[in-house]
Amino acid sequence: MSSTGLYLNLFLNGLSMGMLYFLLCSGFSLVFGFLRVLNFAHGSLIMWGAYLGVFLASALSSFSGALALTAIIIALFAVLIEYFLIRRLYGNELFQLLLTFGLIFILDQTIKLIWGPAVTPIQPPRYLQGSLMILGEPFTLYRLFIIAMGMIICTSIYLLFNKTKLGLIIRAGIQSREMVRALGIDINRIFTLVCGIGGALGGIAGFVLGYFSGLSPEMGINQIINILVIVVIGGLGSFTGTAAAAIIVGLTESFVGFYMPEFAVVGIFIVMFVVLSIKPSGLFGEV
Amino acid sequence: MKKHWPWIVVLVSLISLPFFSSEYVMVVAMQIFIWGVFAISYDLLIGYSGIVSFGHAVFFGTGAYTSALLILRADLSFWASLPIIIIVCGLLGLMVGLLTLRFSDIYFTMITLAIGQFFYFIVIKTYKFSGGDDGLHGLPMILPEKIHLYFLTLAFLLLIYLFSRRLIRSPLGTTLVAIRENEFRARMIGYNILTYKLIVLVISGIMAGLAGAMDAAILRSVFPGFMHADTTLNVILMTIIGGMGSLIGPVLGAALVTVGQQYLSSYFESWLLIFGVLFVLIVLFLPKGIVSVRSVLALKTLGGGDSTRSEAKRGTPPR
Amino acid sequence: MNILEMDDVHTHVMAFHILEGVNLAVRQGRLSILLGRNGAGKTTTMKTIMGLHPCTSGKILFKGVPIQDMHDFQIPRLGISLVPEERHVFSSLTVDENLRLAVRKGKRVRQDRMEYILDIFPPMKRLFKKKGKDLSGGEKQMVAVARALVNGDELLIVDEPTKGLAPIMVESLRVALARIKKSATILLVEQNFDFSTSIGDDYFIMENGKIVRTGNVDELRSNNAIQAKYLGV
Repeated sequence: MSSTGLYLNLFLNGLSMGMLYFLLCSGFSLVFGFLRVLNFAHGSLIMWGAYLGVFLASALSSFSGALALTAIIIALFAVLIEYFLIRRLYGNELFQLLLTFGLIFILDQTIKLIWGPAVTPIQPPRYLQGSLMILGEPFTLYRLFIIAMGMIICTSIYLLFNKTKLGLIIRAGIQSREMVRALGIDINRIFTLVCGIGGALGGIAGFVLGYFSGLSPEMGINQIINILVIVVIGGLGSFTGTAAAAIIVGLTESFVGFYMPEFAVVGIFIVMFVVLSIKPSGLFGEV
Repeated sequence: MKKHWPWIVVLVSLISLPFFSSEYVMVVAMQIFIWGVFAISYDLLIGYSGIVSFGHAVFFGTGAYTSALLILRADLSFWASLPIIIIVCGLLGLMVGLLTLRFSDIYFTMITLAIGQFFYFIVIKTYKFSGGDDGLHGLPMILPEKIHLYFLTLAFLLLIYLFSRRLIRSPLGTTLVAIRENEFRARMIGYNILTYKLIVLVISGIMAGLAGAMDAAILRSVFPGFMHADTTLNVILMTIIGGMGSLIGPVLGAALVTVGQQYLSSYFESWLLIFGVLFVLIVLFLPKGIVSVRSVLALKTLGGGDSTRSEAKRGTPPR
Repeated sequence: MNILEMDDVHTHVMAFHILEGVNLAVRQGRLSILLGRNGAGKTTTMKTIMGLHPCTSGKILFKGVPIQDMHDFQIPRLGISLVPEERHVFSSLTVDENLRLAVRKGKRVRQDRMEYILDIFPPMKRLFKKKGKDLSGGEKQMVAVARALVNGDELLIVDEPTKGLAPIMVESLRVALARIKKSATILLVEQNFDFSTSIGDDYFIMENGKIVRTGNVDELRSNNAIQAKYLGV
């Protein structure tokens, strides 16, 4: 058994976890950076992405079709939530927070109502099952898929931010919403659009997650906690920070999980405490 | 005296409750009293000091586990464990506060959630110490009859409520409200914000810890769920629905949610969904909670002011 | 022709009655200066025109069209550009991106507008790829003004542009504004008396939320009495 093979395996596992975390956090981080809204219900949107995705996949007999449709539907959810609920509370951050918090109950309980409380493992489609042998260590195909999805989304977001006018508005809006308005841009409409994108990202993340770890009504709460910790590590308001933190946490969990399995579950928190004690505003955060 | 009569009626009914209702009702009432204390402790933070913690369960759980461990492992009586709980939760509050209060609001909220879950995981993972997933069981009855427990918890609630009322009216209380209203200005005047917030966090933590210990004594068991985010979620639900910033609101919220939990769950599978909807409606339309219904209705019938052009324009845009 | 008119405009900010009946008329093609002591209400006036503060009563007319009830983002689209006091050049965007963001019609800055901007501000040529946060104060001011020229707007509202600038930058700014006023109307708020009177045509003096005196800048320059009464310490 080669130890390079082992390290590579741990590294690739960690990378895939990191990419998964990135997918999970991306929608949340985008919405927070631009709208300054902490969407506590993002984990629940992710969960909806998972449940809906699996359901659609069997209804449509198409993995990729279900993925696309799920992204669109969850995006719509998010748009409706922004337009009818969050918009009423602009200017009051505490109540926006509480609102999204209340949405957790509604979204999570509705899932329990429709699909029941059972935990269900889900098998990815045939062509994504199985594993590759890399340097003598098995690496599941689905993890490769996760890495690929992560890179696709990452690239898409990068292109959106840097090569489109919308991305320009988003980057500017993160810094000064008033000035963007002073340039004649109706930023409220952009808010809705960004919420939609955030929702789509959440839907996609949930879809990928569902096939990876199965379906469970606790998913929403579990994921939002992970998301919050990672975003804090990366620095609030910094999308790059979130991405970096996601990868770091993924890698840490992989290696810690192997060498000190008892600490695996709390690994994410340990990273947070370490980072915050060195740099309280997070890796890329500006306080 | 005249304006106090509703309270007197309530008090009398509460005192006579065990004599004309079933044991089940008494048990539910006890849960309401205990969670009422927990909710009051949360209201001191969110309603009066503007501190939004999402990890408050950590105090509730610590109080419960400390009490259980002292009783089961160190052979102490429940009463003897109380001062220790106060010290432990006080120190915990101090530690958590020093660690987290320096962060600005949103960071603070998120970090408290993380800390809360961190403690939950520690409890789950240390089976030998805390019983892991199973929790700890077999706590002895601390009083001979259930009815004694009823009056104990009722007295507990009344004590904490009166204490909190005094606290709010004290210089500490008014300072906290000033800080909540305008932290910048308060700091400019010279108040050491951190100290005040730390004090209220310690007090709130001790209250919550005592509530946890009480819950453990009543249930005669401790579960890791005491530490879980769900517990925090529940108390937030209660405080907001009831009405934050009012002290009595959270107790009302505790009553509503507990009753809902007990009675509705046999009729509706998703009573929590209903409460979620109620919560959202309150956040949107009745921000001061159910306790404010009377005053809100009064304002509306007196004729809400005619909207100035600025309000007629559109919802206030974000900064 | 009056390109901008304010008719008995009152503005409240929170509980404070800041503008107490502002009456002014900016003539097209002229550079009008708004003077007054600190706290007189000059910036609030600018913000009220731009819709950033809703006015509580009164009328604001742009080319005869009432704009006081419009949303703040609709007003720039009419042809009014703001150069704000704090400049607000987006620090994570490059200068090129800052300009592009301001473009209302189309994707890029129009060729002829870009030539005009580079003619007014030649140093911009080497700044395009620089990020907002890497610019000096003078460069930021330059970009803020250039941004307002991108669409060929008829009215420019410029709020305290010389604030914090080195004298040499102040001078090049003065030259730039003197040239810009040939093709656009400018409403300038500026504490620097020499700067503003050297390029201004009409003046308004503001005190306690009202315009207390107006007239020709030539008259003001030579009249020490007026200067002392309204602008002195």
